[in-house]
Order: sequence, then C-alpha cells, then structure tokens
Amino acid sequence: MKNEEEPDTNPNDTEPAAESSPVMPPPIPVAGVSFANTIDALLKRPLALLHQLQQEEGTRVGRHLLVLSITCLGIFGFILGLSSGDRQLWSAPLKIITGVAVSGLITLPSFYIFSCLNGLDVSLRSVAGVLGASLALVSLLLIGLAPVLWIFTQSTDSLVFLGILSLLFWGGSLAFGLGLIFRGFDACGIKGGEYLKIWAAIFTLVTLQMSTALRPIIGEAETLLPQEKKFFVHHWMDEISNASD
Amino acid sequence: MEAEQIVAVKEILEKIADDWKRLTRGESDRLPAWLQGSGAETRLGLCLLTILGGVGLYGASVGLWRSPVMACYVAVKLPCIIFLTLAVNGMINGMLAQLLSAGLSFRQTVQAILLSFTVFALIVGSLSPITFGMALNLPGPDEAGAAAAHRQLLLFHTALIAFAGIIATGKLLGILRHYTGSRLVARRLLIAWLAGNLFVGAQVGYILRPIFGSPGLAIQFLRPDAMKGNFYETVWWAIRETF
Repeated sequence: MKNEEEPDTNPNDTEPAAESSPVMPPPIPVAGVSFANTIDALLKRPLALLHQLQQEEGTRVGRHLLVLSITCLGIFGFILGLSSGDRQLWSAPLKIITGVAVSGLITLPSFYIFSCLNGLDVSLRSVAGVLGASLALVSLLLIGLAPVLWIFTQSTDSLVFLGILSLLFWGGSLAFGLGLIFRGFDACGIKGGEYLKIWAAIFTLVTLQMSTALRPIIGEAETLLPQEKKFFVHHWMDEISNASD
Repeated sequence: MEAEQIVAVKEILEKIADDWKRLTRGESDRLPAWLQGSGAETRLGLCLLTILGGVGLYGASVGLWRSPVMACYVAVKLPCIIFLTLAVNGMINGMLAQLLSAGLSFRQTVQAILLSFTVFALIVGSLSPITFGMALNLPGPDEAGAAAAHRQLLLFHTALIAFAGIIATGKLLGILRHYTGSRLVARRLLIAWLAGNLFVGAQVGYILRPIFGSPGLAIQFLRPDAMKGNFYETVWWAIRETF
C-alpha cells in the first residue's frame, strides 16, 4: 500500500506547489475527478484531496463532498429514525444534516482565525474546503457504521443505549475527521497547533449541544423541536435518570 | 462601471483579509512597519472598524441572553470600554513607552495597543456565532434554570475574554520585541501597559454596567448609580461579606 506522503517516483507526475509544506502528495489526475474517485481519495489519499480542493478542480470536488455528506448523514439519520418510526423517519435525517451544517457554518470563522493564529497562510475558501472534507469523512464513516446501528435499532427499545451508541459512533468518526485537519496542518509544516486543538474542542462541544438543541433525534416528542432549553450534559443526565426510574 | 466597482470592492476586501491574516499570524517582522508608517499605512481605520465590528458583534451575543435590547446596549458598550480605557490611559502609556526606552511616540503607543485589541476583536468576533448560539440555547432569564444559566454565561465569557486577551497580548509582545530590538524592554513595557489598562478597564467596565444583565434587575443602558462607587470597593465589600 503506497504511503501518500512519500514523493511519487514517476517522473511524468508533476509535484504540486504547496503553500509551505515540505512534501505534498501528487494530486488526483484531472480526468479522474469523479464522484467515486473523490470517495476513494477521501479514504486513501485525503491529503491529496485537500490539495485538489485548492486547485481549479476544487469546485467539482467540493460539490462531490457536499453531496456525499448530505447523502450519508441523511441515511444515518434515517436509520436512527427507524428506532422510533413515524415522524422521526424524516425529521431525524433532516435534523442531523441541519445540525452538522449549522455547526460547520458557525465554527468556520473561528476555524479561519485560529488557523491564522497558528501561523498558517490560508484563505477563508481553503479552510472552508478543509472543514468540508473533514465533515465529508465523518459522514462517510458514519455510513460505514450504519449497518451496526441498524442492528441495534431493530433489536433494542432502550433509547439511552441507542443514544450512547450514536454518540460513540459520532465521537469516533469525528476523531478521524478532526485528525484529517491536523494532518493537513502537519503537511503545511505547522507542528503542535495549540489553537487548532482548542478549536477542535469547541467544535466538538458545538456538535454535542446542537444534538440537544434539535432533540429529539431518537425517541418521540409532541413537538418537532424542544420547548425547553437545556445544556447537553443536563439533558443526558435527565434522560439517564428517567430511564432508571 | 458596475463591473469595475465590484472589482474595486473585491480588492478592498482582499486587502482587509490580508491585513487581518498578517495580524493574527503575528508577522512581527512586517507589523512594526505599520507603527513606523503614516496615513493609510498605519491601518488605523482598519483597527477601529475591526474593533467596532468584532467586539460589537461579540457584545451583542453577550447581551442577547438577557434580551435583544440588552444585546444592542452591550454591542455599543463593549467597544466603548476599550476606547475609553485607551483614552484614559493614553498619556501614561505613552510616557511609559518613552521612560522605558521603547522609542515609541504617543501615537505609536496608541496604535500598538489598538493592534493588540484588533487581534482580540478578531478572536471574539470569530467566536460570536457560537456565543450567539449559546445565548439562544440556554434557559432564558424568565425560565427555570435562569440563575444557573446566568452563572454559566458569566464564567464562560470571563474565560473567553481572558483567553482572547492572552493571545492578543502575546501578539503585541512579538511586535514590541521586533520594534524595540530588546526582549527585556518589550516585556517591561507590556507588563506596564497591561497593569494600567486592566486597572482602568475594570473600572470603566464597572461604570458602564450592566454588561451581562442579571435576571432580577431591570434592562437599562446604564445603572442610575453608574458613577457612584468603584469596582475595587465592590470586590473588597464582597470579600468582606463572604468571610
């Protein structure tokens, strides 16, 4: 299996220009910028994909990532909705897509500023591309875990268990997604990235709070959105306590 | 003509983004040129607009939890705290710069501190979408859990302001180090400025209260007794009452 960070030995491949990185992988060939290739690159050569997003073909790759994210999150949400049925079949996917999109949008300005604080010379467009690629990877991993989730939605009535399982899946996928961002920084020669770590913590908290702000995603309620505002930790404690009674 | 205007606006926006990037990256080898320049080279207008915009937006998110009216009040007051503190301390900051052999004039002193506050404004401004979300997501002032929500907001915003302040101060230290050519002079000057600005800033903030807006108190732009008492007296009595 080829290490994407090793320079390509084929003399016909052009070494792409990098902003300030010691070694950059060769980009995906222009003729190969298809949806399938984008997914393949996201899993096997994510750094090459990040580089591609900065090039002319970046718009096409960006569209692929957007479609991929919406589709995968929608399917994952549908499977979560299967645990309760009825309205949740359409509201759960809608809420998950909305929650992830809003989380990405409201943390994008701080992602840009914190990247600059870490010394990175980037534009808002390029950090938006990196964030989009990261969320696309998260979505792809969630769809990979969807069959596992489906098994449990069909075999358990415990909403607390399903909630914990969903959070674990989200946390694990997010770790890979944020890892892609850190690897991108490393490739640009930025080691450490303390501000980026702080931003990553903020982003994680925002997504967790968003899941509470848009509840219920699993289970049923009289209204589509909650009437009562809660901090996500309080909400989890309340649910666990109600389930134990 | 319209296409030309669009291109001109785009160029201006790109220039602004470039300057913001330079500030947040802490390009301390290029930023001292802003202190040495004159007119548009100083980026004074950019600093003022960024502080008004970034800190104003953040202030609106701070006040929003109490009410939309409070959001408008704090959006105005928070930048005022910065500008008033600088105005009150302008003379002593300039004098200290000269006493400590930093080679900065009064104008350059104000400018250097404004650059630091611009970084502060960019950080809090970029986090304001998140703080807006927080204000909308926590129990409101008339709901159950209001007291706990108010405390959480107070703690969170205090930590955020401290965090942004520390980063902004670090960038200023880099600029001063490069401009003065001496780590020792830069550090002493920064500590002197910080001590003065924090001391005065706390009092200016006290005068311009309320900022967070306690649930039980009326929504006002300024308290009727704004000029009575001071921040340090209040802290002293709070400590005495506690113990």
